[in-house]
Amino acid sequence: MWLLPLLALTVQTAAAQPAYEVVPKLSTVAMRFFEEVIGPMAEKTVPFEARGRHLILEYSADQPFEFKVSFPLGRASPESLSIFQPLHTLWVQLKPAQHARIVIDLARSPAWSPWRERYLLHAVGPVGSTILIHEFEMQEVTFLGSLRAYIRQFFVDEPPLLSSINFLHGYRVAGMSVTVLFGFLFFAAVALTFFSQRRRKTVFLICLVTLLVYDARFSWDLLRVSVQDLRQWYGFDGLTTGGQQEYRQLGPLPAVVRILREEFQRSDTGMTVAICSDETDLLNKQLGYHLYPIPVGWVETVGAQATHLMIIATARGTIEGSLVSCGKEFQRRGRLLRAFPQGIRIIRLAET
Amino acid sequence: MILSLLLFFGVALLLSFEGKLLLRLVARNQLTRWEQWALGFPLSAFLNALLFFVLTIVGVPLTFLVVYGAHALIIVLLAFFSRKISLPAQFPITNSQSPSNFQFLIFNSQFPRKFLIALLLLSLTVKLFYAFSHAVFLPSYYFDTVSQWNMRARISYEDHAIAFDTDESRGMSKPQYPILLHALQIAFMLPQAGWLDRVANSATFLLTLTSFVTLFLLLMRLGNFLFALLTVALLFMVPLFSIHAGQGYGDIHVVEYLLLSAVFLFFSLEGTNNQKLETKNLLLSALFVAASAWVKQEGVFFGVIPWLVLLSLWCWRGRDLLRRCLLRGFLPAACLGFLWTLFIFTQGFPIGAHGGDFQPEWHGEGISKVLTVLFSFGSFGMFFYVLPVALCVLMCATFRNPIILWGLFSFVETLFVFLFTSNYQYLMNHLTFHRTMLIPLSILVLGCAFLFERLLNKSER
Repeated sequence: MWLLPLLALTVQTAAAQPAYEVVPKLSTVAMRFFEEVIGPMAEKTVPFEARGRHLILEYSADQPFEFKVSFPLGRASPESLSIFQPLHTLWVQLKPAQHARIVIDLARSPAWSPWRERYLLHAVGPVGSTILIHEFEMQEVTFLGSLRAYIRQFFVDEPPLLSSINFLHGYRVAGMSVTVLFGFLFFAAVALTFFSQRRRKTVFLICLVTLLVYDARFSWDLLRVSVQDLRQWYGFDGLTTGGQQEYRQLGPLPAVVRILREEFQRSDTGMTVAICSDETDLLNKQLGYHLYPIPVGWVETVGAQATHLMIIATARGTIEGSLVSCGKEFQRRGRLLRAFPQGIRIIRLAET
Repeated sequence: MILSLLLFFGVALLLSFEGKLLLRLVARNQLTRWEQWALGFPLSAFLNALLFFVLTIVGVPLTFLVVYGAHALIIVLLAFFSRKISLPAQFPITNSQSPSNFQFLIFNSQFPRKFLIALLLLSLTVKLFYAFSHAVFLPSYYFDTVSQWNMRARISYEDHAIAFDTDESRGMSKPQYPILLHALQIAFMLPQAGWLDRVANSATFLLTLTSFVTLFLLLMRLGNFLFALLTVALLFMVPLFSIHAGQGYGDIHVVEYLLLSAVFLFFSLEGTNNQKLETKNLLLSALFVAASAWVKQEGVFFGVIPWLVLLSLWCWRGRDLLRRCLLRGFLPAACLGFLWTLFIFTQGFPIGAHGGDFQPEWHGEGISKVLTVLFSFGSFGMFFYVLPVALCVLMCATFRNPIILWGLFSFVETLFVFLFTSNYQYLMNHLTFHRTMLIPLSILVLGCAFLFERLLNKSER
């Protein structure tokens, strides 16, 4: 049981307690890595209407919780008020506290603009926790502050996601597509060349400059993501000692592959790996590719002949003593070989 | 590690040499030595796919001895025939007009020109770094890579036979996918001790690298260093194109083969006067457009079919022209280009990548989605703003160009496929529309470069 009973919107300024600035992160930061499951969570969402840049929040909580701010896409229909681009959602991890006041800079999301009036506020916490939101307040924004925010938004990177091979979202400033904004500037510049003596040459120059400017922005992202990926994979950050580490959303999958390969070499009777997970197909496909010819499949399909079970970040998978379960349908005896902090467990199953 | 690297380069050298010999046979010393080595690899990758196809049809297992024995035999035969009939270099494979002294617009003075070159080199270096690090040093990541492309190659490698699985029991079920990339990865893997993910991706990366090096060298002959650099850099300025250069999917390889085909088609149709068709270049163009159909079936629809239509329009002018087009153009392009499609049709596999791809349906509501994708998403950057303006200015100033026609044909075809068939769903969920649009976009960028070069030549005269 958890509560949000004191939701209130105020426009009062100044309060007795000082407000501490908490730097929010874009949800893409979490999306590009392996998603850890902490436990059963509950969420409450409320709409909030006000103009401004800094959201001041006063809350009390008995456990840590996530506070998120989403930016609804439009007012075309009542449904569209609750539709938002999840890539633009901001989130902060808040500590347990009594009447704590924090400030969140909403302009960190490229969906923010000074004209925006509507937001969705989400509180996500463990089931059973009590979270009280006492007060919301929005601070006005200055012209210079908006300008600084736009520059910062322009440098919000294109997130390297699984979908990036199919399409790129593009950059956004003040909730608008940068390509559209640049496009208007481009057409305006081309229109001005009608007054130019060297029209054709000037048009070509404008075309080239437009492409080069956008390319410079995108090249910066390519360079940054290449360095980040190499550092993550090879462990150049000084924390790890080389070797293959983690990679984007795959998490500790390379280590899992190594362990299962060693098991395969020791096995006399062949091996089948069953996966117990609520995730999408990616890890299943990745394991299938890297472990081939070892059969890999969902517990529902290969569970009966499985020699090993992988529990990937799901509450359905449990080990009690030597009893391994994946929901009520799958129960076998087994021994835990390795548990990863991200919620992945490798189990060698006993013969049936 | 070192042995693996040596074996990789050994196979690359062998395939390039094989392609070089084939080029000597079909292009008769028209290309420089560097061009032959670079172009040899994409050509031999196609030859390798045809070899795998023949071995699969005959039912011979794809073992090291069989595959490399067959390659050795091909090399001996090619060496024998190319020695017999090759002639010394007679005329260069360039535009019949003198190469232009390409100075970009107002950049006639040295400083802005050098600055532009530095900018373009920097841009290309970043793309190369991204592509190289993701293809060679980082693991396969994307969904179709591990569920279709590399996975099918891996299963085929272990089976010693191309896998035609129709269910997901072994993790992949696209028997209709053409086999050029799978065959290339297997060819590189056969001498290795076992399947190595980075060797598989490096093999396809080498295909990208050699294709663009060849494109650069050929464009340099047409214009000069700056012209070639600008054209190649412009292609890589398409953001989604750079992502695909990191390997994993087949789309970039379709584009590579189509660009090579387009360059040779341009040399063939535009490089000579209207009465004389340059048939050796036409044959190379036909081979490369057919090769694109062996990478992905998009090669058939956006490559082979428009190519044949274009050539038909061109060759309609005279009986002699038609006869020459038929032997060096239509026949190789159609026979090799449709061969895989014919094969999967006879096997009862679906023609498209997804079942029911060709169900005719009209989706007018998709038009707004198309506009949103082209103008406000990040896949194409500013290209769909710049390209129409550049095209208008260029086409008002100079004459029509077969490559532009090809690009426009492919563009209309792409719109048709996603608005008039059940592929509409892949426009709405962004699964394939952006990737498919890379094909017409790349051809149009190359066509614009040709028009631009011609415009400068014209103004110089």
